[in-house]
Amino acid sequence: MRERRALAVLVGASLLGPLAQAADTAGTPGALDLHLGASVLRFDFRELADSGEQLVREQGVLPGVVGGAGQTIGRWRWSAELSHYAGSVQYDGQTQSGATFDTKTDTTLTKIRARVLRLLDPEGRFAVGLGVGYRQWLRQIRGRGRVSGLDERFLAGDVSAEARLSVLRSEATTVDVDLQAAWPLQPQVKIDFGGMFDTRTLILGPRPAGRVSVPASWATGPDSRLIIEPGFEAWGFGRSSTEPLYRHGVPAGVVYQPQGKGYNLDVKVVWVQSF
Amino acid sequence: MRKINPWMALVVGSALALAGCGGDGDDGDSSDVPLTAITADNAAGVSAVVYQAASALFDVASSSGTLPLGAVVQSAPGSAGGLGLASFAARQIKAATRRPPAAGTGVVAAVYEETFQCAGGGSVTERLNDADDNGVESVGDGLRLTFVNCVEEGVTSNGVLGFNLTLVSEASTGAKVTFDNLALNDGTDTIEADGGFNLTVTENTGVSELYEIAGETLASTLNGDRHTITGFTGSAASDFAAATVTYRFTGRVSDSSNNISVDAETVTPFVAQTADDFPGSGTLRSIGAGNSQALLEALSLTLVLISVDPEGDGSFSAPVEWSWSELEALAD
Repeated sequence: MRERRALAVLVGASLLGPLAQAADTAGTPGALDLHLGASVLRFDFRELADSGEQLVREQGVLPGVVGGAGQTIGRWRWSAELSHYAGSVQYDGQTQSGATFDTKTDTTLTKIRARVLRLLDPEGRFAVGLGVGYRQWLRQIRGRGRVSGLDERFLAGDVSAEARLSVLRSEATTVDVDLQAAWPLQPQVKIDFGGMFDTRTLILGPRPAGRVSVPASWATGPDSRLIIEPGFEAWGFGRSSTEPLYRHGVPAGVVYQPQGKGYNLDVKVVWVQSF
Repeated sequence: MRKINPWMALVVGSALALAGCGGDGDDGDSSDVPLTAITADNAAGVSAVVYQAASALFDVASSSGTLPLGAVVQSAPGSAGGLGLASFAARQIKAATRRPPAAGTGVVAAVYEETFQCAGGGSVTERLNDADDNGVESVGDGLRLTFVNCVEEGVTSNGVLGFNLTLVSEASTGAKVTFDNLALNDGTDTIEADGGFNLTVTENTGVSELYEIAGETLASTLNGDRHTITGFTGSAASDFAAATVTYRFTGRVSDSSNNISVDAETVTPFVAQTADDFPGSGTLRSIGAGNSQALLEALSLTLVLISVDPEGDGSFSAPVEWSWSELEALAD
């Protein structure tokens, strides 16, 4: 419930604030740019043992929606964006005993980012700045046969260094390269064992994340633009510490979350309207 | 965790009669039940009881509690607990032989004893009677594990589990296993056991594992129901790469509460995927009075065929199709 309230606040901030992100490449100076669009994300996540051996791999394509706002004020550019993906991906992994196991994982990925960029040259071809973000990944590994399901909710904030380089700029078209290096804050996972054990929250190790994207923007009218933005993101988290596990309040063993690495490809298609 | 069906008790209790020292063993021993005549009416019920007895021997069905990774739960490796005595004994003997040897406590240093804390609370006291006084577990040694509210893999254990080691090698461990007022509780059911059987565990770490069991009598008490198998052998081979378990059983199955007693054998072994509820292949024959027979053939993960030869003349009826879940319900 607390996570939902936090998410609602962040969503509100995203939609109501005078900010925008994907609209960074658009926009009349001083105008408020709102954008909305669709996206597909190729999700690829791997869970690794301490030895580096791959334990689990989840892959699949998730449809999503993106929306946000942005505004350029002088040589500053503020922006924010909310993205939400949901669907099922293929789980190829194993049971706790090490037996090969495959199933589907229902996956919901919600991200919100806000950033401010300083335009370093009058034309705005090069900009650097800082950002903050928040990510929630709901991972529901489906049970099958005698193997029970397992639900995990990953939460993490982050701070990031941002840079944007315009590689093509004309009256009608712009192509930028966006770079982002993020450091997670308080990554954690809440694990629901489906009643087999008591729900447990583990603090995860931090792992730097990075994203590169190439938004291309075309003018479609005096105050509107179409943006297509392919991107690649590397993210993850470190192994949690080993913590006690309880069953109905009685100690029943120990649990830890292994390290995880994700490599996502996504393409966003958004419509930007300036006001 | 999956509700333990009454036939799980077959795995558990052995052997008041086998050991001859765990009690008089005569209080309603279901091995006294005469062989049952198998008819078209009871063939499915008999087959259901025998199948469950066979599959429960090695706790094949105990992976109902298995979780996928995700998070790594170190308290629930392997079969994630379970009350099958063969798998419980196998887990314990592997754990005991892998612990570092305790300091000698006897005058002649032939008896070693140490108490370990269990992962989920409670303790287990290991006492090694080092017959050859070589300081490690070896053939001829006796191991005695005394559980006091020991919680491991979701199972709370009390009582005594003993091993007389008959085989110790890098790959295999064998022992005559005895239970002395051993009580296992998984939070839903409690099984109490006395008696024992011979067990051999052969392990290729991370690749395969083989349990082999043989005994004269194995009885169990579960929620007041008492069951017995006699003259039995069995094996369960786990292939971790293929995620399969292949298991066999031969022996007499008696259920005094349902007044059933038949001889049984797996004509072709059952093969089950680790993640599935039921085997996808395998054939089990039950033989009752007058050589009457029932044949259970696994068709798929969901369907099974039951045919019957009530006259014992080798002429079987046309097979009747059942779902595994329907068949399982017959034995409850």
